[in-house]
Amino acid sequence: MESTASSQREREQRFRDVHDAAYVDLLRFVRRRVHPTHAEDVVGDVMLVAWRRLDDVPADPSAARAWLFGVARKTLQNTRRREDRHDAVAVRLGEVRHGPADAGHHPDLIACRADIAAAWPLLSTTDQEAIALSVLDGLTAPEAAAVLGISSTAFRLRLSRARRTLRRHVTSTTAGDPRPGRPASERSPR
Amino acid sequence: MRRHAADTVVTEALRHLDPAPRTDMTEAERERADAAFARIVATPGDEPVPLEADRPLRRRSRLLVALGLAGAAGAAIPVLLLGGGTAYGSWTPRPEPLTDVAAVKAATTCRTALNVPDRGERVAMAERRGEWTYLLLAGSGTEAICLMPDDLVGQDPTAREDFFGSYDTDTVAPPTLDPDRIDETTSMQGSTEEGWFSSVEGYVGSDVTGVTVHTSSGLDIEASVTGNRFAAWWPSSKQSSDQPAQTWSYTVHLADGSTRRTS
Repeated sequence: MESTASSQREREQRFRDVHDAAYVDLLRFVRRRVHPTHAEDVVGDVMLVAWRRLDDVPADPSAARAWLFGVARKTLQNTRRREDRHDAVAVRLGEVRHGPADAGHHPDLIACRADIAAAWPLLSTTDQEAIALSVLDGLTAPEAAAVLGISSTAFRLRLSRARRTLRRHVTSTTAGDPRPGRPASERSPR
Repeated sequence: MRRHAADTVVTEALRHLDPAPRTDMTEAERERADAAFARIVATPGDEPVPLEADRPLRRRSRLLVALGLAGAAGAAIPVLLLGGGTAYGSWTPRPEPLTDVAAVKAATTCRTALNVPDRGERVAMAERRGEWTYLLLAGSGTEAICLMPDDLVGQDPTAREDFFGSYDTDTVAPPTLDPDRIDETTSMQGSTEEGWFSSVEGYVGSDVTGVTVHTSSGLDIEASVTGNRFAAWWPSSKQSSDQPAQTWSYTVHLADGSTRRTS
C-alpha cells in the first residue's frame, strides 16, 4: 500500500512538472486558435488527457510541450464538423494598433505589420498553421512536424511554401493590388 | 540577402501581431488553473475519466465523449437533435445480433479505444447494422457505448477515425418499470469519419419484447432489445438552420402481441 501511495505521489509530481512547465505556452497556443473565452476549457481537456496518458508524455520538456500542442490541435479538430475535421486549424492574428509603442520601431516593420495583417486571411489555414507553429508557437521543425503528424522534411517544405505565399500576398498588398495572389477558390484548398 | 532580411522583418512583424503575447498569468487565471489541476489529479490517472467533469451528466441530455483516435485527444460535443442524413450507406433499420465471439472482440476494441479497464462491465447490447457494429457495455455505475465499422472489430483501433466511443461514469440506476413500459435513459448525437448519427438507449419492462423508433425524418427503426435494455442508432445530420431539430417516438411491442405508442 505504501509503495502504491508513493507511486501515486510520484505520478502526481511528474504531472505537476509537465503541467507547470507547459501551461502558459499551451494556453497561448490555444488562444491563437479559439475565442479567448474557450481557451482555458480546451487547456483543461488537454491536461486531462496528459494526466490520463502520462506515460505517453515525452520526458524532454520541449518535446512534452509539442506533444501537448498536438493533443490540443486534435481536440480543436474533433470539435468541428466532420467535413472539416482533417483540415488545418486556422490561426488568428491580433489587430494592428498604432500608438506610442511604435515610436521605437523601424517604419518598415510598422508598414509590414499592417501588410501582414491584411494578407493573413488570404492564406490557407494550412499555410497559417505552418507559419504560426514556427514563428508564434516557437516550435522547431521536428516539434512542429510532430504536432501535425508529418515528417520534418514535409514540414520544412510546407513552411517554406507558406512563407513564400505570405511574401507574395504582402507584395501584392503593398503594390495596391485589390486581388492579391490567386483566386479565392485556390487559396483555401480542401 | 534581401529575402533573408525580408523574412526577418516578416517574422518580427508577425510576433507583433501575436494575439497571445507572453504575459504573466493573472491571479484569477492562476486560481482557475490550480482548481483545474486539483480536479484532474483527483481523478484516477490510469483510468478513463469524463472529459467534461464539471458538467453534470443527466438522462436524456448527456454530453458525449468522441474520440478521434489518430491523436491522443478527446473532445466533448454537446448533444444536438438532428435531421435525416445520407451517411452510413450500409445501415439497416433492422439490427442483427452479434455472435458471442464477435461481441467479445468488439468489447475488447471498445475498451482499448476508450482506454477503459475491464471492471466487470458486461456486454449489455451488441448489434450490427450493415457494416457497423454497435456495443453497449454496462457495469456498476459505468457505461461505454462504441460504434465502429465491422472491420475494426478485434483490431487495434489506434489511428482510426471511423470509431465513436462514449464513456459515462455516472449512469443512472436501472429504473423500476411497469411491465409494459420503457424508459429512455440516454439520447445523443455523435460522429465518426462516416458522418453524424443519433442513438438512444434505455430500459424495458418485463413484458416488452420489442421497441420501434419513429423519427421525424421518417425512419422506422427496430431497436435491439436484450434483457432489460433497448438501444438503437441511425444516421443523421448535424443540426443547422436548414436541418431542424429531429424528434422521435416509440412503438412498444408486448408479449401478448399488442403494441402501445409512447414518446
